Amino acid sequence: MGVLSLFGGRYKRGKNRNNGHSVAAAQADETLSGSLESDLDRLCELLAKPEDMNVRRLQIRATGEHAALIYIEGLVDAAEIHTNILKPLLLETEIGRQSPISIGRVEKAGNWSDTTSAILKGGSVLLVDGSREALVMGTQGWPQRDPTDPKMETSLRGAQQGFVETIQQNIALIRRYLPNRELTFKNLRVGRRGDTQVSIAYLADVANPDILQELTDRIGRLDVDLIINTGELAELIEDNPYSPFPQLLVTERPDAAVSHIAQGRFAVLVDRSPTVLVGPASFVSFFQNIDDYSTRWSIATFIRMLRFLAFFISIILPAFYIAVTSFNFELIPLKLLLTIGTFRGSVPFSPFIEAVFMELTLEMIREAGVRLPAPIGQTVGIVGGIVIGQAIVQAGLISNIMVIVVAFTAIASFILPNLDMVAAVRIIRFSLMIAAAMFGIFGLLVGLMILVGHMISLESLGTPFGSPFAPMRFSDWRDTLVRSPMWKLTRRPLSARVEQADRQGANRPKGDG
Amino acid sequence: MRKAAGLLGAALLAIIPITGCYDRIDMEKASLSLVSGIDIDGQHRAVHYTSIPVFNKAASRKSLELKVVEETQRQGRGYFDAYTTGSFNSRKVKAVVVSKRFTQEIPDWFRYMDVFFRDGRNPITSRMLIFDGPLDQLFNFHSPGEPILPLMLMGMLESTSGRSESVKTTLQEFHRQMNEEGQTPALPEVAIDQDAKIKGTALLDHHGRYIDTLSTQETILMRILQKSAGQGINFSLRLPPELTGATNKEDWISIATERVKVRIDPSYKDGRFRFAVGVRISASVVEKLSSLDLDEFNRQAEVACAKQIRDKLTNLLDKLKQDKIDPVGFGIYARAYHHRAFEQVKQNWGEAFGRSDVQVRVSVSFADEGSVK
Amino acid sequence: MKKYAFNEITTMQFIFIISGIAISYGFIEIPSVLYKKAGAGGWITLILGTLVTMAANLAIVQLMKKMPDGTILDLLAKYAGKWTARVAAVACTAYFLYFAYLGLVYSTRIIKARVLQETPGFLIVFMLLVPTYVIARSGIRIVGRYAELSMWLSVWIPFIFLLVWKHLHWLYLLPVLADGWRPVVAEVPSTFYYFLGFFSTAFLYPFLIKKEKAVLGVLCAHMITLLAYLFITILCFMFFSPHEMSTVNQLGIYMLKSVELPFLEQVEGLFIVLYLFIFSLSWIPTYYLTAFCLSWLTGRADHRPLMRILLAGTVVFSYFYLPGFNTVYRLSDWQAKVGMGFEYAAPVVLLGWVLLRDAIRNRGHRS
Repeated sequence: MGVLSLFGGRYKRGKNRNNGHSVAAAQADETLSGSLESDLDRLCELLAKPEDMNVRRLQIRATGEHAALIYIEGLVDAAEIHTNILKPLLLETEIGRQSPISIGRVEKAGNWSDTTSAILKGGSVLLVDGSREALVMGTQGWPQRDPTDPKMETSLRGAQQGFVETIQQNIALIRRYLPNRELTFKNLRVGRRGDTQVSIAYLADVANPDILQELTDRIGRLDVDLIINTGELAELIEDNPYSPFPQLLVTERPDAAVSHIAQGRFAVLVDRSPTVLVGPASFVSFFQNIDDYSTRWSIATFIRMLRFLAFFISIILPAFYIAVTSFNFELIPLKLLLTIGTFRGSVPFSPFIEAVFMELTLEMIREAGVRLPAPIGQTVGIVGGIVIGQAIVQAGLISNIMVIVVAFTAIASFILPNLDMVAAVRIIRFSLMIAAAMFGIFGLLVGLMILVGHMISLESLGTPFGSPFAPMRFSDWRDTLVRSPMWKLTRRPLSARVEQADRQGANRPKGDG
Repeated sequence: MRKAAGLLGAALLAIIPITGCYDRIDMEKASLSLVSGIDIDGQHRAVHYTSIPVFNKAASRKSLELKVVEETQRQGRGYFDAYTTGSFNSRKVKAVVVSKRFTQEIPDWFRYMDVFFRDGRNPITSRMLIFDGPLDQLFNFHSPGEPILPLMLMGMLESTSGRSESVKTTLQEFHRQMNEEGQTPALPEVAIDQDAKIKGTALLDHHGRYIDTLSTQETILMRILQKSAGQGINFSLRLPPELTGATNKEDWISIATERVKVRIDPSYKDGRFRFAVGVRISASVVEKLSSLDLDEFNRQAEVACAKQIRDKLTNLLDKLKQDKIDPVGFGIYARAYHHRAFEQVKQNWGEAFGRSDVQVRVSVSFADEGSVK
Repeated sequence: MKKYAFNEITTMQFIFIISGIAISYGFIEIPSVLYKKAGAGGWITLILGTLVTMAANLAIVQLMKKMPDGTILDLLAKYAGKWTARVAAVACTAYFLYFAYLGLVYSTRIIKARVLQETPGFLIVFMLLVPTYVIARSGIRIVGRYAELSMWLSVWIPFIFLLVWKHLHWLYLLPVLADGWRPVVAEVPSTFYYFLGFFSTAFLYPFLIKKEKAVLGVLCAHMITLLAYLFITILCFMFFSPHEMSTVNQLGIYMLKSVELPFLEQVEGLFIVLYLFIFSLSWIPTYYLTAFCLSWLTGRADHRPLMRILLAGTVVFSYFYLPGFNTVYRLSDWQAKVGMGFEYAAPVVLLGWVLLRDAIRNRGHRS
């Protein structure tokens, strides 16, 4: 009783109806008995006596009660336990009004499921003989890394920080940018066995409550074992997982996530995952990069337009080449026609086979280069790109023009800042190539029409994906095709459907000298 | 329901590749006719020519020329197909050449061009040319210094029409001219005289029959009247010796036009059309052989140049009136402003033009004398 | 009770659906028709025709104001009884289906003649109907977005046509009134065919968010249609010699064939295919409206199965028979006649009758 009485607050595992079958469900409300020995036995039985669980029996010096401290090594910060729990309990001779345990987060747990859950998550549990409540202390100290430069989304001028694998640290990284009362984190738990903490971050007075409700409902309805990655969560809650387009933005950078939160969107953080989901996303969000806002607006505009151009080139160019050389060669200017004709005359395959072959080769080289360690990866890239390409042309299997087309397409797709969109481009490109191979330019256009039709009917958390093109919203164009100067971005984008839209005052009022 | 739709979709998608791609023709498997020609042989039959590029790197010649005697262009295709490795098509014809004899001896020869307009995939931007001589000469002309026939023809045409020394008539333009009651057609004329060259402009009448040729100089004047002259047209004129005080060979002056404004005012009186043509030229002097002081005698020099140009224009117009042809398009003006009167003569505008009265006024002003005095 | 609550379209989408259905493939044929009927003053006929069309469309808007939350079928059900509305629904279904089918066949014929000569027609129809299904199955909102996007994507078309400026002779426009005013005014009804499709206003009205902008929207839509048509008509008049116009089919495409860009030659193969965006506006919204009428008739909320049957039926039908160009022209003539009655005359009559009934009812109440 003694020590425990100084603590208030009950430890709650968090509301998640889907958690638990078998052992956990049965024990959900079973309470501790009060007798130390029987409680310890029960605990070892419930947890199946893992090797890494440590049971430290002790006698609290001040009160003389027998107690046991249970924790799982590896999940806890051992130094904290030794210094702040064991030492005071063992050495303090008097307990005054305050407890000797100097741990920040301390709660009481009354039933077994909360207790076992706490142990499994890195807390330490103190069982005191005669007490029907266990003391749960937050002593988490599993191995984690410092925020380092995000691997995939590098920025030339932005912060060199990426999200880490612990959700509390990620929340802290976001709070650093927005020390504002309105920044709210709504916590949910996902996964029967994983019990992963998922946090939705948003600005309470800006973000749309309907979207919040939708997002919460979708995550709440999930019935899975565990979520390992944000990617899994994204696929489970997306509006249309069959679409080639991603509907939720995945980012590794705190500054990017915060930028979206400030525009009125929602960021979903998943524990143990260094990436964060941002929604609702529109088509143009995948073309925006945090660097656009650090560089000057004219060059940022130019690069934005280049990205859109690159998108079109990377989906259309091989298909256009196939269409033009197989169906509509009258489009090519005469001199180019003679050149291409000479090249193609020595190649045995049709343009479609050529194109598919080269694209598949490029995809294989790309995949090979991704997983290999750095030095080998680079060599493979060079060998693949230069040597194989050159050798294939000289052997007469593929024409020069095809290699140029494929290389240009690959470069264009690398310009896109978002990996999911690059993946989408790869899929779309193949479909358009097939369409062009069957019907020429007409097939290419029908493919584009289908793509457009699909994109305009796609929604991301209830917001139109094609905005600001599909429902044409000119005011949103300020941050899409062009990156307007900073003082002009006075309102949040309409695609976020915000409640409160002013984000800037007049920073360059007219008549300013 | 969903499953059924999915199966149906899959079935349809499977059918498409099985049935094949109908219109697909890989470029190297096509024999592209780049130049098409029609001539007439001794027995008064139409002979069709074609020039096809060879895409084989190992071949000695870069292009292949074929000819066949057939009734129509389309019929000639079968023959050409038999002789070429690829499948013949005329989707990329860059130039259509007709021989002068063909235009003179076949009435309404424009009918032979019908396939270019009717078939949806044939181009109408092909340039039309008239060849002075038998087409055998042109299609067998392989000069080692020149590229293949289509490139050679196109190149010559671009450079001369760029300087306004010849017209550039595409199939579409020719179609317009043939269907225009108020204008007679004009085609660039090619001849082989040691080397291939553009001789000038061939003028045809309403039915397409060859009537006359304009030299390159005359073509320049005609294009000025048509208001389609380019920039920097060169006139080399002789100033009157009273002005320059020079002996015979030194009174040349060359001017390059900067701006030419032409105004044509039609009127109708006493059963005849009258056209008042006003030409205002702003030019810079580029060459002056005499020692005439242009600062002092500026006005006189301008007037003298204007008179020279006026004489040239009048000669040209007299020639056109005598031939009873109107490549400039005076008839269009007549129709626009004097519709009723034009309606009466529109069946044979050439005649009416021959009877009409054309008054020319030219004024020249020197914008720039050049770097030396 | 808002029956059509979640399917809203903005004013701009409203404008673009109406003008899209009108313009679709009309701009290819309209110059030759205008010249044949009204001579060089044909563009005046066009302007007059637009004014008449605006008036007719405003009549529809006035009519729909009586029932802001329902389509014209609901209006008829209220004022004329259920069975009249049912008959009208059948008529509307047939009309829209005919409209869509003709637009589809015309586009297929153009593609077959200019781009894919040897591919069987039903394959082209099938290819065109796949995006139709993707777009039309999701409701009027998506159709509206598509109409908006297509019109913006087609805004380059006039600029391409301007590339033929070297071949233009403005003298061809004179004399404007060669035969006086009579042919110009008398031939105004022949332009009505090219404005058909504004009857969709009667179905779009309940979905419009800002109903007070309906009048403005209608006027804008017809202004856009007028500008598009006027542009191409005057351009054609300046491009072709007068006699030439009667010798050429599909003037718009012929003009396009003379465009030469520095990096692409013979661009009409590319541009005709790009025109498909705007051609498709003649059949995509109308297929949707057909399915909508059908679903109203059968009382179903979901129009998707009906849409699938319609589209599949069209593909199967075109496997067996695809009308040739001349048949298409004759069918269009017939459609023009029906359309004049349906779209121009009927709403005015209906408006008159509705006003009369309301007046009688009011008088009845007062007495």
